[in-house]
Amino acid sequence: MRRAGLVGAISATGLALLLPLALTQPYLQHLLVASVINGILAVSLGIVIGFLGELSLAHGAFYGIGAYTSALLAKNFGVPFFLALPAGTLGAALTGFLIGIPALRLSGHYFAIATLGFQGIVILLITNLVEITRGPMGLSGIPAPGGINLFGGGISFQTKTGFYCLSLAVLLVTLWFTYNLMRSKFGQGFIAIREDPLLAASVGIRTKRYRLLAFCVSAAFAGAAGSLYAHYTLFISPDSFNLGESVYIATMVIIGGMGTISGPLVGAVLLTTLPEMLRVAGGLQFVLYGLIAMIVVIFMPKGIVGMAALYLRGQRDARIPAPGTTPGE
Amino acid sequence: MDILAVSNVSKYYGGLAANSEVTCRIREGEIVSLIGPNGAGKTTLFNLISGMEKTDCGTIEYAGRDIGGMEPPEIARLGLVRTFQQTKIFRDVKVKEAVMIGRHIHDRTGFLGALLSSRSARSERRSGSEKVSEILTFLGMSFQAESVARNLAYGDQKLLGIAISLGVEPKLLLLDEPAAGLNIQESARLMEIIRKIRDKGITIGLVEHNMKLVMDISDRVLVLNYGKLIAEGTPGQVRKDPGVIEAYLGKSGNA
Repeated sequence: MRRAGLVGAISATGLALLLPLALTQPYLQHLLVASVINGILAVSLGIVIGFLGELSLAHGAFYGIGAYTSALLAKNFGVPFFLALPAGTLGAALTGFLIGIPALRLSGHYFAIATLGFQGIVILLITNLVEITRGPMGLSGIPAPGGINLFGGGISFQTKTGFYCLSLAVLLVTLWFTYNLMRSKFGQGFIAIREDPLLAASVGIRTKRYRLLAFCVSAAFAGAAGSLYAHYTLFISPDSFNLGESVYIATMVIIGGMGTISGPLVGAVLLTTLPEMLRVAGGLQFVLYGLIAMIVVIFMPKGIVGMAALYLRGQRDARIPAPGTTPGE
Repeated sequence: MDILAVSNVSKYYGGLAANSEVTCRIREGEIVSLIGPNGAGKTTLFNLISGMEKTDCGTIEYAGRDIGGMEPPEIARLGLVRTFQQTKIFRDVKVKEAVMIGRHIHDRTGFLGALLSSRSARSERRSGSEKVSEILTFLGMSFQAESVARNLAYGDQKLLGIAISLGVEPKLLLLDEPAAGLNIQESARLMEIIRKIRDKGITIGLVEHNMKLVMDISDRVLVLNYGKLIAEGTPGQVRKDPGVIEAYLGKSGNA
């Protein structure tokens, strides 16, 4: 079972690495990079929405904090990308920690509203701290990541293909960490809190600490995604990290499938590429887009991956005895 | 030796005294039942002991340590674990995973070890799942290990609640109406299980309305009425106590 998963993961990675060879148009390659960055965002928000069971509408803000931290360090202080990326990650995690302490005293709708408020504050700060962020005019001239030398051969991240490989590596690390975390007592603790906070506390799970941990980890990955984005587009402005972005990422998680790791990833790739695939429909492009989103939400409440899992399980259950006819009963 | 000492504990909801100057002890290794009519304050007392609610006055000592004002997770970490009257389980996970969550505090994995799935994290998980199998075998539930918790029959869900609490490896286990809604066979099975748990060295506090179960299994019985402790003794003594009979059946004679 585990080996099958590993083989699947390796072949999916191999396939993902081959994609830029098939899709040679720059615009399609841009979509690849965007899918990967959105994938990091959705998988990390999935930790809070799907596993902790809280709706956060501040993911765009953490994405932005990572982007601005990394971009400003690189632009103003000449910090190389490979240090700016962890700095952006850490910056977002730290902000998540500070915001999480008051916000996580709330849960359910109240928590969602608190994160909404935080999202608004961050955008206002970025917009109004003009001396630092250049406000609504946006920050340009962000240095692209320098290449690295490996075994005498140089790898450049300034091409779309090169940057795609770089962001794919960050996505893989995100997926691997999330997978490990969710199998560990920490991830199981998040799920326990989602299922029943009182019962979780009564078996010794320090629920406040764990909720904060989930929130920080999620924010950290969003920060990494922000750093990638900044050093990819080389220009950032508050518009890329607003409430609309937060809702967009949450939609990826919900459509892909909450409570799984692969679900948000599928949702991210789908929502990033779907508008392009629907281009053939001409003027109906966004009508169809909305329609598909609605159909998924109404008919697949567990998302695309949740639905697929249910279908596969049904197939398997058909082969084993139904409950109640278990031998020994 | 007393494992739990409740002294002069009171809890008020507005003007209503849910618990009023309750003083009682539970000795190590015994099965003590707490009975009383509906609304007598039994569950309130469990909530106070497990830290889910704070006492208004009085002290609660567990294993010689004042646990008043401690948060529920910290109390559970000391080995004082309670189950709930309304069946509480982790509904959307498999039975074995639910019990594994119960073992949470015994997993020594650090955060970095978890992220990197280090060798020690994996061995912690392995030894954890061995313990889970032991617990499920102990309760006769191993064949349900792979079932999703919410698909279990009602009686099995109640049993899973106990399995989760056993994962914590409690020294004192408080069971809040474990037999509520169980049929006669299931109650009998539950009684055997409670005895077996006690024989493992776990002290048991029991809130229960099933009098046959209470009288058959308890070493001592405490009786609450209107938040006050009105009687205490062996099942035989309590059964004959005029105050208890009055609380349950009303005053005799001049009614």
